[in-house]
Amino acid sequence: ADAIAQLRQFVSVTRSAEGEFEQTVVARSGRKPQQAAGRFAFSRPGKFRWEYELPYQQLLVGDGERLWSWDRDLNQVTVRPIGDALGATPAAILFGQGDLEKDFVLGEGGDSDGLSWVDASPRKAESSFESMRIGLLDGQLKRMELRDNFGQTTLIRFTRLQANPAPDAGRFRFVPPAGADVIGTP
Amino acid sequence: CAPLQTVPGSVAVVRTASPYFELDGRLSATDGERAANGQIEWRHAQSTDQWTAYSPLGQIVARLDSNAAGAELMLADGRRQRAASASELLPALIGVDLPLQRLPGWIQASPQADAEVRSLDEVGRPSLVIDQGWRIDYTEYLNPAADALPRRLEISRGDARVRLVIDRWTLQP
Repeated sequence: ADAIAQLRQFVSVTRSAEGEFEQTVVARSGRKPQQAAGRFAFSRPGKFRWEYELPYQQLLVGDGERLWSWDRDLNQVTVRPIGDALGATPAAILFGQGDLEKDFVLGEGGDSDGLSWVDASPRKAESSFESMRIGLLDGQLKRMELRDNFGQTTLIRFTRLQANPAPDAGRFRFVPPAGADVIGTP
Repeated sequence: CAPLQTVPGSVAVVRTASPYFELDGRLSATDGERAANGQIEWRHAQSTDQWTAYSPLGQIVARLDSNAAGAELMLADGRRQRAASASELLPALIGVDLPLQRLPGWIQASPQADAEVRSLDEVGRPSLVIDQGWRIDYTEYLNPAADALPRRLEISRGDARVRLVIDRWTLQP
């Protein structure tokens, strides 16, 4: 097990990564689970790219200072300072500074599905989600399960994760496409 | 005002608004300063409404429930707000104060009789409606059928603007 040790190792060793993910959102109500998939990349701290290709194209980019989000169909970009918005969110596991204990209470979640699990709950009561489970195998992040405060569960499977790839600064820069609406405080 | 830009020869098709629908889509709204965008779900029935706003990761960020007795806005961090009607709380959810009695008709491109259908598309569906000072542009429908529901629309008035892409419609027969 020692999932927490594996998570600490992942956070300290994996300073950057790129790969692919699949996301399933299961609602407590009878609503059909929503599937999504795409690519991701990150470089600690605060730089990340979370790109949905299915069911529609949406891109989130953290350039270290600002969070850009772009929806192709809406043809709109919103931008706002990242500030500490990242701190207590599930994203912090991937893109945060790496001092998880500052924002989360960590607990051993045992073994299941061939993975060792960490239970993480946000220290701040008014956080936007209730709890999270992080599944690891041999020190590598494989799955995350997020439960929000409305009983909605998001399952993320990292189908491919390449740790510490060759740096590509352009990957964490975002330039609004011509003609797109830009809203927010750049 | 702008001349009627109806596609020549197209006749307005009769459209009826369904009293019950569910839609899943993506919304961006701004009043000129604040901006909100994200995934949204709206369940509308005769006298009850439920709006749910989601983060990209599928977490519920906020939910607004309303029925004849009143309305309640619940935020992810636990804060709750009550009001006599949803129209007092919707701005807190999407940042724009929209007329809620007109919205179900606008969203289904079946405006009420006293709204002005300024122009039609080649199939006879509204492409521009003016209603209570609001402008509703229908930029895409789900399919070419005369009774197709909108897939993309923009509601605007002055600095206020709501852009909506609807990914899934569910109408109760």
